[in-house]
Amino acid sequence: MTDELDRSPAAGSELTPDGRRAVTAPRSDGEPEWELFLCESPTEPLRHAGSVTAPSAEAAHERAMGLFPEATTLWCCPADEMARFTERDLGSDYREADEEGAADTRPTTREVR
Amino acid sequence: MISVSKLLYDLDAAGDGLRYGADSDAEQIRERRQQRPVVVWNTTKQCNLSCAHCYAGADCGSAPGELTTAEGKALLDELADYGVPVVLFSGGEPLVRDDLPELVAHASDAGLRPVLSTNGTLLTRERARELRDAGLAYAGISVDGGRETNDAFRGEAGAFDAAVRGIEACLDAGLKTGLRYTVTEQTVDDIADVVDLLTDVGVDRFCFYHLAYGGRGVPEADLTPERRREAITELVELTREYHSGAGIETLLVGNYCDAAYLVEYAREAFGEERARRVRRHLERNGGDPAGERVADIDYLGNVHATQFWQSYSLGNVRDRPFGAIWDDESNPLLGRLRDRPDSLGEQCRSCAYADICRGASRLRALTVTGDIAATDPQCYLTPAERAGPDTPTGDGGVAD
Repeated sequence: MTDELDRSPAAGSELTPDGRRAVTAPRSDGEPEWELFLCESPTEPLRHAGSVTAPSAEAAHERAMGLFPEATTLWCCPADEMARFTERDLGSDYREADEEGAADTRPTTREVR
Repeated sequence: MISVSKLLYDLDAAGDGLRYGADSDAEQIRERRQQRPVVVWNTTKQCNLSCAHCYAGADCGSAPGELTTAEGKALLDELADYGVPVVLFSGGEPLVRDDLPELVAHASDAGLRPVLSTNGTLLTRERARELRDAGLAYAGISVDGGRETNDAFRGEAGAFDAAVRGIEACLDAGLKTGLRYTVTEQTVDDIADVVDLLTDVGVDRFCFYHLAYGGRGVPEADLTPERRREAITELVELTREYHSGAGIETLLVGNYCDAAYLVEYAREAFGEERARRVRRHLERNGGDPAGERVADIDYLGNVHATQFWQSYSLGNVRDRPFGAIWDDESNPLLGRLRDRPDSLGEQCRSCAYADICRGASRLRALTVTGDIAATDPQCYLTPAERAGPDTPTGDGGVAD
């Protein structure tokens, strides 16, 4: 059997009325992803500092403190709950050409077993 | 990567320009781009094997949200514009993607050097020729141990023979082809036999990886530091044995403690002048590359400090260009990785080889101790070696 992966454009992004895209592609597969926001002193604003993969908020916090021992405040936010909007549209230059060049725009994967 | 064959036995190879500057006679990969990282792109999570040490935690099931062909092409354009010299197509198993030749061709056309990391079992002669025609510059094929060991390691009977057929297919197509071998407790005893066998097949590039502690790569599978030292000594001796008469390239990957060891080895085996020369090369190389000279983008577009550090993401290329994520030093982790050895613990900071090792793997240190500044648990230098020669020279080299 050939296992088809959904790599169609709709898998990654949806256009919003104001021209930005809601990026709906997942950030992880399996274990949850946690967006990190931190500051290193009480007078600093929180800033985004990437994300960790962890099974729970507590585990995410533990993992993040290993990476950022200097953080005085740390937020771990479930990535699946973060609504992502951006003017960026990775791949837009090639999407139409790919769609014109193939009846099925979704690349397939080979049989692996 | 540390080239044993270059440092100890003067074998020049195309990658030495990236590793040691332009001090090489071989045709070099573009010097202009050496300030940007080599990028590993895990194009898919899917794999036809289930290897014991897989840092990506790959399996045979597909994962939603992989970068599309169009997104991949745009990503490759951005990497080329940013000045990335090399893109390594990896996985999972990248050959499960039918669009791999198209992506390789796109990378090549954009001015990137496309190379491949594969388990080799899906490489037919036809696919090898297709990849060669697309512009693939190198295929690194994983074999971890002899037939029995490898198949147990990979969870698939016949994987060893299939990988060797893949190697032969690449060589037959005229592709530069090398071995990737992860040295663990399970595989360490088979090194000499595998090198012997694959040299006969025609392989002339051997890359030996230390185990990274990510995904299914766990500390319990690793060698002790003492056994590791023995294994590296064996590899150095094997390189010397095979170097006579043939241009066999041996590279060590994933533990820059090896850099210090090679200086020590050179001093013992060849004398001070050679040790000084080896050290000068390694100073140009710059030590552990995580967060600086190597980067990773996974199948979902998440950017990582190395391919082994999948549990932490710096950002996602669907939200921001790779270059913007990589240049954003407001991220304290990137700052810490780039500010070595100053950001390391006392043992590493005071080590005589801190500049050419840079604390080796921060991921291993973090995984085992919980402290990102701690000593890499796989540092195998003796206290006397860490203390350095009695009389340091003024040029950063070793004592006369």
